[in-house]
Amino acid sequence: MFNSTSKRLDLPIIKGEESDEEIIEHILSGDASYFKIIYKRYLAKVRATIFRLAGGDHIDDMTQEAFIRIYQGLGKLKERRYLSTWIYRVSVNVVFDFHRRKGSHVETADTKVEEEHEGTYEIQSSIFKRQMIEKGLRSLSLEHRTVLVLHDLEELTMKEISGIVESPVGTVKSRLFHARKQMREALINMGVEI
Amino acid sequence: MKYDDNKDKDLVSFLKENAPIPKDPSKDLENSIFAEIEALAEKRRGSRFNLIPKVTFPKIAFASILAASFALYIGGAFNLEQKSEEAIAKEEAVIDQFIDQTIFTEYNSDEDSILVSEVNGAMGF
Repeated sequence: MFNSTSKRLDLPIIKGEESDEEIIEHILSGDASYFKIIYKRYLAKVRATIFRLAGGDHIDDMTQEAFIRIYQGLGKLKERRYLSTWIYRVSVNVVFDFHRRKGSHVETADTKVEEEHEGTYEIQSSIFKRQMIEKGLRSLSLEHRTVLVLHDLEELTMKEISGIVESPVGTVKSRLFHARKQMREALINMGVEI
Repeated sequence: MKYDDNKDKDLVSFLKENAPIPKDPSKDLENSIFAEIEALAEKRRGSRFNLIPKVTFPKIAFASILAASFALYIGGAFNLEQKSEEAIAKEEAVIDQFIDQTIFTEYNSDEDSILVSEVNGAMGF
């Protein structure tokens, strides 16, 4: 991927909390520095979505690709108030495109299991549960995983997910039903009590 | 097909409480993204600059044509006005001539030898 150490675009000084629409307006009128605000606002969401869908092996590359696509696509975004949903869509598309390019199963999380066994029992337990969920997600198809992550972890509505994955709401509901069923079975098989 | 029963609620709560969290991005990620954004922005600015001649030339040409048309219209109108002034002057001269002639005829004869129709005919009405 593109790699550089230059940092010429500084975060613009803004008065108060500007809406996404206002930020987009600044960017489209030629001030690319405002894209830093979009980046800061949505970085955590983009990374979390990509990580939960594709794992951590190529997360930085996919994050970079997602933000470049977001920058390039802002002008085509008709409903600017739906920027957040659209950013999810871009992130999901990046994962699917990566999956197609690789022509193989995308790992959901770091295949290297964290070697963090120090700390209290609670911390260890929390790490264990997180790893089990990562494994559980990995056992789902990318389509099922996407719906589960967007609905149950990112808390998007059925309608929003329907728009993101370009499938009818009925299909999304069906995928969610099967995804939860498989996830529950996977967790039980790993000895997790829910 | 029920997807929101108690079992699902427990599962969803468990997933949310223990949601996988990505590691921190590499230190270079932000710089790398914004170097690319900067390059794209520069390219956009460049393409906008390149578009200037393509966009402004027809505008300039159109404005020139418009200005020339307006000048021609004004010139033409002024010319027409001049022409009409000349015509009026000619008409006035004809009228004056006939009035003088009438006065002269009336003065020399009792007969009303000059008719209004003759005056009008002479003036081209």
